[in-house]
Amino acid sequence: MAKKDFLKAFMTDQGLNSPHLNETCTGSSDFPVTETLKDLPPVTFLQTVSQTVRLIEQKLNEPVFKRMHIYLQGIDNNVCCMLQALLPAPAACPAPASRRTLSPTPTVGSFSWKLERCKIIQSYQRFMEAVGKVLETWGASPGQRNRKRRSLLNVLLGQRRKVRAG
Amino acid sequence: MLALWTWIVQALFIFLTIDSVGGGLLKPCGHIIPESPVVAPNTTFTAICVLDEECLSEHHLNANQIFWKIKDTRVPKEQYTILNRTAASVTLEDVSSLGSPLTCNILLYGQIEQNIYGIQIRVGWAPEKPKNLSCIVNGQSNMKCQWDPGKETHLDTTYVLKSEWPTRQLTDCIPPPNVNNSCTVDMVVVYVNMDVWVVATNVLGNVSSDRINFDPIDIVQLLPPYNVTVSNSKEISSILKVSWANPVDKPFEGLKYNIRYRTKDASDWTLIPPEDTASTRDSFTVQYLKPFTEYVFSIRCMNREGRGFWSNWSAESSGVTYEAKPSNAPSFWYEIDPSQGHGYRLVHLKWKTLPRSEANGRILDYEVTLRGGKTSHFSRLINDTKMTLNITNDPYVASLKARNIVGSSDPSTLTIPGHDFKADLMESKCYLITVIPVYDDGPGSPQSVKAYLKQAPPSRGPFVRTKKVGKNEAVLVWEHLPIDDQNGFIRNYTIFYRTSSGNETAVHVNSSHTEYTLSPLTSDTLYMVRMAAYTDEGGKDGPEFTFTTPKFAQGEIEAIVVPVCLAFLLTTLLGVLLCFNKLDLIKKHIWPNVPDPSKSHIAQWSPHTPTRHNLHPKDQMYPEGNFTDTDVSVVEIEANEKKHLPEDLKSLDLFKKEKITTEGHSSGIGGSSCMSSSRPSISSNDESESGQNTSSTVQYSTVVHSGYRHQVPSVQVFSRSESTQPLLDSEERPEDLQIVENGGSGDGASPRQQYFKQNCNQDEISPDLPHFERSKQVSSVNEEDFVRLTQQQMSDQRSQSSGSGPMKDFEDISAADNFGASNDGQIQRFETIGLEAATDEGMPKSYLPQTVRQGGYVPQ
Repeated sequence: MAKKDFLKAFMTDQGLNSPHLNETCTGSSDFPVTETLKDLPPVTFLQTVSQTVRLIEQKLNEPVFKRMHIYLQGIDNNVCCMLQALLPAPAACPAPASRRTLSPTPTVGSFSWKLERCKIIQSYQRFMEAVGKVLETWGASPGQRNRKRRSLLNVLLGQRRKVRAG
Repeated sequence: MLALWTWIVQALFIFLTIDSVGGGLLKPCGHIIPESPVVAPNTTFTAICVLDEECLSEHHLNANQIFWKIKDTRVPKEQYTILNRTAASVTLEDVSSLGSPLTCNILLYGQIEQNIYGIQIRVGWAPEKPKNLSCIVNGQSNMKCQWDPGKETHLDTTYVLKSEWPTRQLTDCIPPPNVNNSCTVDMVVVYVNMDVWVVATNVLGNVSSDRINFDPIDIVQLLPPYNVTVSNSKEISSILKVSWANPVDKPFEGLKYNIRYRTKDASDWTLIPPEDTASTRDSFTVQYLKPFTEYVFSIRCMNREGRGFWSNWSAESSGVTYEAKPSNAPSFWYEIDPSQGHGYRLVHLKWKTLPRSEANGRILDYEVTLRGGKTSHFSRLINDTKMTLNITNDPYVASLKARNIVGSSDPSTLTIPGHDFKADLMESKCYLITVIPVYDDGPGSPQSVKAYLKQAPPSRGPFVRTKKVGKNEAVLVWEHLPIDDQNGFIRNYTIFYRTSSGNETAVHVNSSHTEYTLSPLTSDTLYMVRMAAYTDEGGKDGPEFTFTTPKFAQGEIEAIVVPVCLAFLLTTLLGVLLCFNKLDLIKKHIWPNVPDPSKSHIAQWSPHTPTRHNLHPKDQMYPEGNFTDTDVSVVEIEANEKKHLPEDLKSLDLFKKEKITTEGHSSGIGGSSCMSSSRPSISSNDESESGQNTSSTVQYSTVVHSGYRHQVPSVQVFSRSESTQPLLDSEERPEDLQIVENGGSGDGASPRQQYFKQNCNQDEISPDLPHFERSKQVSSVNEEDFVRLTQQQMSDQRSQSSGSGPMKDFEDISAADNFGASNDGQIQRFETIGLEAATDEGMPKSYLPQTVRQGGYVPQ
């Protein structure tokens, strides 16, 4: 797999590979969009990304999403490193909040579960695409922060390409 | 070997036991602590044997009866320690050199050895720090890390690959069983920096390797390209197109490649220039290959940016270039069988098959063409490599072409002579005789030789000429004779040379040479030279050539002229330097200083002419026709005079001093010329004329003033001199004298005066200072005087401790001018003043202050 297109992989694995279902997965998203993110101050922006990523981690906690999970953790790690350059260490990377009680989910493997998960993945990839766009607008700056930003950007852009490819 | 130390405990037969209470099992009469020791080599080990109380009482034993054995060897008693009634210990040095098991024994009844207990000692090492930890990400899915675990521990040792991100610990990677030097992490996230290290643990301790930190994207090694295929082109037989599929599992898009190829039978690979394959692609066309040749290809890839590692080489794939027409004609020969009668003969043509490298394809057939005889043209295609023809006795020309699917080779041609062929050879002509061996499978390598039927002397001699002519030698060159002029083998050359009057000299030269150096020759001499070439049958002279040797060798003239010029230049420079250094001395002896008449300011002292201190332009001061004798007052001042001057005469003291100094160095006429020169100059109304007049006979006068020393003006007395000596330059310029004479006047309106007046506005500056001022008309003589004056002042300054009168007066002026409290300051100031006067000559009336430089004065 040249690009980590989690949605495509999920749809293939779950037998949802049909244009009709693709449209079904595309729904409204609870995550911030580009227009919202681009106006945020850097710290707020990064905190938003971190919170969103952690929320997605919580939502996709089934074993089938193990690879995506570690991928999200990597993003969260990079965001945390960037925040450490902007904030005092304790405040930069707060410990993951206790798992929120999510609304009751359908039975794993059921069709409704599949649809719900594909909507989450779709929303996640759209969110990451928005994050990537914002990061691309950040001016280059020397030092670690820039390197971290690029690392994060690489992760995100890689994923965004996947979305496009998918 | 440590393996020897890894014993398996054999069954220990416990001879001395007590009955078990329960099921009749035997119970040991004691035990050893520790039960299963693990000991590192070169360490001390202590074991304790503890006897069972019940056994002690039953057999009336105590710890004194304990003895230790290793295998069958008893441990010396010196190593025992009785701890108490039931326990005794043994201490062993360097267990690794001993055997196992270690048993605790007891001597029953003083003679029966009974074994109480035995233990197995395991010897091994603590793990070494793992070294050379490195990781490679395979594709984008997993990461394999390897390390050097160090030496064998001989103990159960676990290795764990640990990793973490800056914000969280990642899952440990545990190698599979029996693997202690690598581990593969299942999932790795690129673009996230991670720390990786290895922890090794066994019963003797644990140790961690150094940590390595990296971004997995930088250590990616992709799988090699796959599905490699090779195809050729019918249009171009020298190319092959290699196609492949790129690895799918990769965390980046951009790839670059290495493509290597070789012919099937070769072992060395040729690498396509990497710059040609530095971008993502899935095919590449290789050019400049040999036609109809099988090539093997292999490809590898990596990140286009150069991060990470090359993949392994792909599986090899081969292809054959398309055919091209044969590049060479086949070797071709004939045999004649003359046995046929009736004007016919059998000719057997034969040729070799083309090697693969020249055939450039599969040879389909050969085309034989015969020309000559009655059948003017005959052509036939044949698959074989030989052909027999029944032809007439006429000469023929046979040609042969090899053909493949693409085309035919160039023809190889052969002349078949006629039956009555006889060579018509001529004398003195060079022939090349070639012999070609003919074997069953074709012709062999030809050998050739040059030969003459009969030699003759050359038709002409060589043209000799000079290549380079030196003073004592000349380099001659010539060219070999053309083959048509040689008439034989040239054996040698002879060079004849002579002068116009001398004997001829001959020099023999080998025939292979084309150059010879004649030496020694006489310089500046005409030589005539000619050359003869010789065959076995005689020689022939060439035309005569003349040349003249030069008088001087190359560079000889330069070697003479340059040192002479340098010596002359050096001498001149030395002379100039000497002149500068001894300028004063030269001046003194060549053009002695004449006292400057302008210094006769003493006339200003005259109470009758008070207004002369005013410096006015000449036309104002001395309007035409108004100048009278009474305008001049001259005082002769004696150098030894030390009388104190009144204040209003202090300003004159400098000039007085100058005059004194000047007189001291001048000739006898200097003192008188100062006075006499002024007279005719001043009395003249026409400046130009006055200059001319003074060049004619001038009457000099001596003026004696007797009242000066007593500060009493006296009547001016002039005595006419009859001298006819020409005036000096300054003497011929009355205007200078007039101005200088009046230079001390306080009413002068010139800028220079104004400059000093400004200085004078300061309270400390004496109103007499204008006596130092000059107009721009001051002559060169005056410049020198000023320089000398300064020098003299400095000299006087140095001798002021002697208390000479003039110096003292001079100092008074200096002090009054407030040019500095110290003597140095005074000297400096006077130097400045002197320079102002000296430089005025060449400048307009600008009175800028000047500074002093070593050896002279220069404008600032």
